Amino acid sequence: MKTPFDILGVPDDATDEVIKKAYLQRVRQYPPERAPEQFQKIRGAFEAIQTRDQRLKYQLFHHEPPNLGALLERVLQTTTSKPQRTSEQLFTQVLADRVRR
Amino acid sequence: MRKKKKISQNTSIETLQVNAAKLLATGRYKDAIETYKRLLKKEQRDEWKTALAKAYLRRAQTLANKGMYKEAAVLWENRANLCSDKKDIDQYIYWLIRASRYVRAARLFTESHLPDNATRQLQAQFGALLLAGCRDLTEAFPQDSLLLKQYALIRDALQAYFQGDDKSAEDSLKKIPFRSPYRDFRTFFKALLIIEADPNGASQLLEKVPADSPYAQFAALIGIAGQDGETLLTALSKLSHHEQMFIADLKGWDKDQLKIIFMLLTAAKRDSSPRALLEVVAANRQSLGDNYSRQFCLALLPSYPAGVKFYEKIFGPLSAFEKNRITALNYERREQPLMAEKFWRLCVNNIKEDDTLKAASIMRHLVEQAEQYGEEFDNHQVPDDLAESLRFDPDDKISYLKLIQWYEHQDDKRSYHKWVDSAVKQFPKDSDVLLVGMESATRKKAFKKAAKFAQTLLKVDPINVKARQIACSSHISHARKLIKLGKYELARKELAQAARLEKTNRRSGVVQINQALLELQAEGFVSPKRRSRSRRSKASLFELQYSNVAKNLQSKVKNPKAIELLQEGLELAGGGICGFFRVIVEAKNQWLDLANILPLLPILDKHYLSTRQEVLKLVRLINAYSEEGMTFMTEAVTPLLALLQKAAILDFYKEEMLSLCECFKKLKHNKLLRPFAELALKRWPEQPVFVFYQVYSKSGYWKISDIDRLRTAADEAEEQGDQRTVMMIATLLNEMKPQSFPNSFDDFDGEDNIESELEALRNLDLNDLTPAELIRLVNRLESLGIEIPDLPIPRQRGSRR
Repeated sequence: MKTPFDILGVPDDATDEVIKKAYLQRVRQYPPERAPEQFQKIRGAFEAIQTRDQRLKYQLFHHEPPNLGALLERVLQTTTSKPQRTSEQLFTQVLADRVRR
Repeated sequence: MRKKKKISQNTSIETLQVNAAKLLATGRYKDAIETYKRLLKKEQRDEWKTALAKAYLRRAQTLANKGMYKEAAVLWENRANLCSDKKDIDQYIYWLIRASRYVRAARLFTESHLPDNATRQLQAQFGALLLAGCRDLTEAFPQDSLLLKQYALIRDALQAYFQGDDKSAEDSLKKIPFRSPYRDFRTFFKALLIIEADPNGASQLLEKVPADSPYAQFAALIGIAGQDGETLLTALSKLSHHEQMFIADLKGWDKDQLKIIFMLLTAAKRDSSPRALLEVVAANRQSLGDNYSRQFCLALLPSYPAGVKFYEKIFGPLSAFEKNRITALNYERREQPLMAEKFWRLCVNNIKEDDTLKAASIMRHLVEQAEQYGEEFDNHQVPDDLAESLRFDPDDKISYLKLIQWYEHQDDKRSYHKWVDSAVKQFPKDSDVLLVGMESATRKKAFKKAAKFAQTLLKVDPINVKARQIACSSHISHARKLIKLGKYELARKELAQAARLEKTNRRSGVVQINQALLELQAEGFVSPKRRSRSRRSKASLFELQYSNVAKNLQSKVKNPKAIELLQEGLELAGGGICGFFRVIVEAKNQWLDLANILPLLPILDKHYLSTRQEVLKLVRLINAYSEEGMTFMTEAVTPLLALLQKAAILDFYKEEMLSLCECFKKLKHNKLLRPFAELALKRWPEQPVFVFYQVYSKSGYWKISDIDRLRTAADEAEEQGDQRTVMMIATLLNEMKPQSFPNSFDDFDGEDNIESELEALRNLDLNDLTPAELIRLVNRLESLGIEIPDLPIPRQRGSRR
């Protein structure tokens, strides 16, 4: 579930200042000319929670359900293990399936 | 479906031969094969054998193109019995590979002398098969063949990769030449080595694998590892279990992650319903984190309120507030605002007293919901909700402005002014609030207060045009008040302040006109008369200017500056009818006799013809003065009637003509409205709205035929979707009572169609007629020789009938 708080990387109880600081930091990381899509997301998140009233509104009235993609993202984030080399047997089997397809 | 022609057993050889050739030429290879086979049964001719071989080859190619390689290979073999031509054998070898007949394919490959290009392509296929575990092939090729020699290098690279020794893997790869049959393998294997560290670089390498390469499908599979989110999940759902496990290895997913991902794949098959997601998250809350899982599931509940019980079972009970909030949001999602409102109000009841911000936010949300449905001004709960929200949280400017707007819309002056005062008190330096404060003060004629607000606003926002305008007009209005009170010195100061606020290029002349009028009064040249006759005078501008000419008024003014200012004001106001209109309005506003003021100005020629722009500007001035609350616009326009009537002939656009007619209608200047409406009707014949204005302008002098015209116009307006005109006509028709036709029953207009007049009479509601009118109507009908129906003549007191 990517909430505006997640996008800006701030806690739910962050203050206006903390949010603005996080926003500016993210914008430096993803400037609009280089990462327009990412920037739009960051801008949208900032506009949704930049003031205390807006944060309260988001928490009270936002009702768009989180989707499968958001959950998958979370699942993938929680990984502790590293990518590993597949076994020779699996590799050969998958290669055989694909070559013969 | 094509109907097969039955070929008789007795068909001649010649006919069969012709048919067979035709079938072959038109691509009907299957039928061509059958026909040539029949011919060959009859006689073994070489030309037919060659044709049959050709038909077999073409048919085989057609099937191979459809992916039917086994069938294609069999047809090739049939062909081989007919001719020894090995021209296209590379195709046959490829079909054998695709039909999994590898050993035969390899044997034929080694025995045949193929062109270089075909050799390279087939070698690549055999190389891929070797890597895919077809060990039989190693015996089919000579041990010193290029394919097997390089296969050993590839095996080394793969073994190093499986053991995580990327350096050795790369070293082995380097030994493989560019023109190797394993060239494409080298490309995708490089991608595999860097996918973890440089996914973009890996993706670029994978794109280099050609679509017809034996490794194309495998490269596409590796590409899936570079995807994320729902795209990845969708791609995963289409893979076999082994392939999914392969991707899991590349991604480095652990067992728990794999478990959740497989559950998500199942959920995706259930359309990712909130219920399915709730179950997945609840079942894996330890892996996902308790707080995250709780939030995720809570966010799902407004779209799946039935899950509340399940949620409570897993995460503990929800407060009454949360339950009501979830229900309210669910009703909002289903677009049931009334039910949503009910639950939001329950939420407010559930809120503890110290959480006032939440309560205020909910009250404002209810107002926003009303706005969303366009009901904010019909919903009388709106001001109460806004007021309540401000009780909980007074620091919300928008709520104040909405409240002010609501009461303004409802014309509730008391509440409007009350909330403006509260807003100004709460936000004394806010430009939006100060603007409404200025408007409110102007409406209350508290011009000093309005000017004070404007000054504060101009300090905050020096370029605010509206503030400047209001400040200027407030000073002028206050000056008018002071002049009336005889406080000329103070009035001079107010006008000087107004003059300072006006931008040089935007001076309207009003300040100068008022300064002139002030000086004329200060020296006693004119004095206000509360019930000035000129207010109701019907004298034209020409008459007014000439009325006192003989008295040589100009020479009687002691302060020549006053005349200069008046003339400057006239010029700044645009001269012509607009300039005079400004002077007339300002003079009337101070109860001054126009006959004493207008002769001080240069005489406007009797035959003066205004321009189109002038007339339109005048209308804008009239509207602006009316909006300021000046109530004597009708009288102010009267001196200009003759000049304006002449302007009807100007070339106005339709929209301009409409605004002119509407303005003159509002002024109740029917003599002015009529020429404009009639000229408009000439230009846009029988346009419903102009029919309305024309009939309206005849007020009190209507003919019965006008009713018909209005009805037709109303029908047309209805057809055109012009509801405003329909409503205006309906209102006018209601006003057209029979008494509005003074002579209607006695004096039929000979020029009009008598039939239509009679039709109009038939449509009259006789109940609306007084007994006297009814008797006159009966007499008239009798005189015309018309049969009188049984009329409902009302009984008069004391009479039987």
